Amino acid sequence: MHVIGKRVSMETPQSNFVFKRRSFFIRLLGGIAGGWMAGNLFSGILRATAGDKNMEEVKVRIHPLAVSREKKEPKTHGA
Amino acid sequence: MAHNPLYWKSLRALEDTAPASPDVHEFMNGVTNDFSPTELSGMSRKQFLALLAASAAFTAAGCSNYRDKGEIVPYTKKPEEITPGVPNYYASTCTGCSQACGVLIKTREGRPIKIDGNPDHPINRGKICAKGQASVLNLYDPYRLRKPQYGIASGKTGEVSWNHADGEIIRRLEETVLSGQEIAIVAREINSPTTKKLLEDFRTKYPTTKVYSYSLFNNETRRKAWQQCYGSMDLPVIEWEKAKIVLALESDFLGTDGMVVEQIRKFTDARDIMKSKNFNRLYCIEGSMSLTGANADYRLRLRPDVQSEFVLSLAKELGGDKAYTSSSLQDFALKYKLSTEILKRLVNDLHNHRGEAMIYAGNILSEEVHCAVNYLNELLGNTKLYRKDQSSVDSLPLSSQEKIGTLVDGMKSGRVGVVIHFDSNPLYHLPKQYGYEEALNSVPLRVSLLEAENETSRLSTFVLPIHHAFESWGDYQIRSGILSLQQPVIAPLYDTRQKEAVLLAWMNKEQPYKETLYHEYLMRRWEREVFPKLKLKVEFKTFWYSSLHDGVLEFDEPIKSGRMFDGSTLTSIAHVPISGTAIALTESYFLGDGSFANNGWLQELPDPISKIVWDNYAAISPGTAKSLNIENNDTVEVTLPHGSVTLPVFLQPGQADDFISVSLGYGRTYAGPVGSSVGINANPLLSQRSFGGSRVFSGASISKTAGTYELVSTQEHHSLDDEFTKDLHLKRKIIREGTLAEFEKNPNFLLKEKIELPTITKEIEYQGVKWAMAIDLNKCIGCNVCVAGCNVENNIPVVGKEQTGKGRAMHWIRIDRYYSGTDADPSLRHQPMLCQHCDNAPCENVCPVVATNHSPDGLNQMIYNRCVGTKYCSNNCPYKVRRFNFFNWRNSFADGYYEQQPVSLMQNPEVTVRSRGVMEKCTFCIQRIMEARQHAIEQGRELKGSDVKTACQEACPATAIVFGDVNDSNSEVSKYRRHPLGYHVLEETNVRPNVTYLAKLRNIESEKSA
Repeated sequence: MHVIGKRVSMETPQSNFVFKRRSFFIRLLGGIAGGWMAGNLFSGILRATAGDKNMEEVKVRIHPLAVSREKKEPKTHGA
Repeated sequence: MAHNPLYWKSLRALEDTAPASPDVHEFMNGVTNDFSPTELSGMSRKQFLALLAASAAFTAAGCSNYRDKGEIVPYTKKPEEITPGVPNYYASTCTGCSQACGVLIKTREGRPIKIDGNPDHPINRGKICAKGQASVLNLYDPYRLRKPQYGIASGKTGEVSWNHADGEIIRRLEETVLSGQEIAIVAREINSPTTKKLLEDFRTKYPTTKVYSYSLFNNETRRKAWQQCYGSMDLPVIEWEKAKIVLALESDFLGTDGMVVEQIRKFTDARDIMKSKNFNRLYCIEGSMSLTGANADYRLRLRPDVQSEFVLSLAKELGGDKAYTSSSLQDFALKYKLSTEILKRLVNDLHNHRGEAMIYAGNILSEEVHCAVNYLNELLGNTKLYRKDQSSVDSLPLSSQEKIGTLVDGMKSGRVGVVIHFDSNPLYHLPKQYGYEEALNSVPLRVSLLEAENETSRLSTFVLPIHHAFESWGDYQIRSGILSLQQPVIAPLYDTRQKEAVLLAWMNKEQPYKETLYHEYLMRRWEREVFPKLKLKVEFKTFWYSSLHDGVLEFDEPIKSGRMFDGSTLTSIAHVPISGTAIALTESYFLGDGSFANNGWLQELPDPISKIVWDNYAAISPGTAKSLNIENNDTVEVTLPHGSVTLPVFLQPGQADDFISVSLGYGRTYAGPVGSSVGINANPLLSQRSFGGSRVFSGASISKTAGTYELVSTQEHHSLDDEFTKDLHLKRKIIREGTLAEFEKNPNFLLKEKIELPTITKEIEYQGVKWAMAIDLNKCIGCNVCVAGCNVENNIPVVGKEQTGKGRAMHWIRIDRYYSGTDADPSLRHQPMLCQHCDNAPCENVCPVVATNHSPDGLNQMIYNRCVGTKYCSNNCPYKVRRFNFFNWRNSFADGYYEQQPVSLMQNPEVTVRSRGVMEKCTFCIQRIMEARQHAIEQGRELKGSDVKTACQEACPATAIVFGDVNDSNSEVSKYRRHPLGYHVLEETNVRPNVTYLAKLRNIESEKSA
């Protein structure tokens, strides 16, 4: 007897579906974990070699004491 | 109909001689072999797809680094000044050369990305030169030093901490003073009053200090002559715009001599056909074909070592004291084969325009010539054109050749204990005769303060990195009553220090270094010395911030009055007998003294006359070359008594016979991956006498050497030169010109050539704004500043010498240069050529993917991510203004040099960075149009044509470029379009271009153009 939405026995079609789903998740987790490790390794290699190629990050900060202006703005004549 | 002379672009076109560069074309057979897909990559399509899939998965996983939070987006603490997407502007001062132009630096999210002139600056009035435009690249140059380093002389290698270096240097400075040895500071020209004061303070702290300053290109002969004639070193400021007649003697005052940006503006102001028909008239007598000579109404070629003889003959003709010379102008003309007709006209003009003419000699000429020119200007009453309220100001006089000699002797003898190279490179700049390298090796402590390693720093003990100009504070004064301020627009990118702050730190070892050290010193001087003189009713802080906002301060400063000419100086002028070949060592248009050598943009800007890129050369007249059996790309050894150099040859039309000119600033050995070993170092031809003196030499010998050297010239690139169209520029009247007399007689003389074009289709009506450009060929001098400005604004890549040789330079504007006349006495004209944004654009019809199409406001636009690179559009473009990315240039040039960090920070975020396989071209700066449209929407008004300025228009020092709405009949561009001199290039093809050119008028007596 088939009960929709409920696992009854190993002989039911749903059981096969569950097995496939579990296998898929295991593979997915494996893929993500593998990809994660490979990605970290890859970015680590990149950063390690970046120094030799002047590829290290350069931080941009505006100068706190500079005075900005609009492109066209009346001249103040020092006052 | 206007006289239509035979135009030619090169000697090859004029007569069948060897081409300057191989006959190549970007699409010609054979040239694109290196682009064959099989050679580019051995990977098959399937392999590529497989790799693509794998790498996609790999990248997706690799992008999961949650630890990297980044610092750009989002702003958790947004700086007050920054609104993402909105640029900030900072007024500052350009320090690329000694002219100290006021600049306005555009930053986006804290990154400086574009420089233009400061419109409030009274000298350069919103314009700067090509070097200034391109100098933003130097800030992001990966070759810049990032940390202090030990130099080779220390016996150690690698990095050193600032604290350690400071401690060691202070100890050695104190020991040196105690031992009575000299501390030498070697600097380039210093125009900063505060730096000058700082050096004086340093001398007080370390009393054995001596300061030496030098400049490879200077106006010392002009200043010494002025001193002799008028008893003052302060040169006058000339009112060029009021001069009716200008006589330039070996002076490139539109190219390299003096305040070029200001001079271009003032000179071209007097050639503005929209304002007046009273043009000035320019006579040019020179040996090298210069930018000034190219724009002359009358040009005579004369070897520069006989200029003094010429000036004295001219003085005699104009009624001067006959004792100065026995030779008449007539005799002189016969002796040197000059046109007596032109000389007669010159004499008449100078006579008839007394007090309204200016005679100006070049910086490379001798003191004697300048004295004679001063006399001539006195004789003719031309001193009226000297401003009464302003004069030049020098903060620190340049050291004499004798003083530099004493320094070198002191270094050799052990008298000098410490040498500090204050952002200078004497090993490269000083004449070899001094023996500076040998002398430097004898100095115990050598310190180099500099942005990037150079020839001198490699022999130093400590190599200390300094701030770029955009990270620095400063003040500059080159003219009385005008002070320019420099402020940092970005916090230091690396562990660098301002060079002045380094000296301040060495002056007080008790006080630890801080970044604001020099800022405070500068403010203190302004508070004590500048502010009180102005007698303002505001607080100093208000004044200071206001001055920083403006970038410039104008104030009343009296100048020495009552200039009295001392004629006795002329009695000392003697004729120097000439012999052999003459040589002039000139300043290159874009590299300066070599400090810009590592700037790829400047290396790739074509020389305005020869159109050669990435090289210097010996320019020789075709006549002399024939007599020596020399051709283009041959090499010759040029020998003077004090040195010799082997150089490639370029046959320059218009060059004087028996005369060679060579640009300095090339052949650097330690300039960086881009600039090292580019061109030939001609500095060995400099003598000690020429340092601070004339750079013209007589008595050189030339001998042809074995081998050839390929020079790359862009002069024939993108030409319509196949069999079918080779004489198109002649038949189709691409250049149109006439004379002023002809125009005055009949202003509509060009209209006869106007062609009415029938159409069988319905004209498209453009509603609202329709964009168009106009270029006044009377004002355009061909300086290339527009090209440099466009490069920076539009993220144009550098492709290198080899690829430029294949016609693949990526510039969106090219300055076409046409000769006419003979190769000995040619006449020149320049024509900026860019996408014409045709209404019936032929490129649009042939694009199979509709990547190029038309906008509702009349723009011919490109969709980069739709372009598949068929190049059909480029083939079908009659103007040849489309550029194809044969490679990812940033990656392919110089081993990916411009892909290194932090170059990407320089890119304009509003302009797509194009990659391989994409066609590109001028967009009329669509990003600026969109920005203006956004502002108009914000303000709830219609967009106006005057809201937008293109990058080239903004950069043009001559204001030759006008841009705006052609649907507005009152707009400036509409007035240009309706002007009787206005024409469209190739209008008969019915492509309906939207760039109007105003035909060039020459102010010559004949009704026919040269």
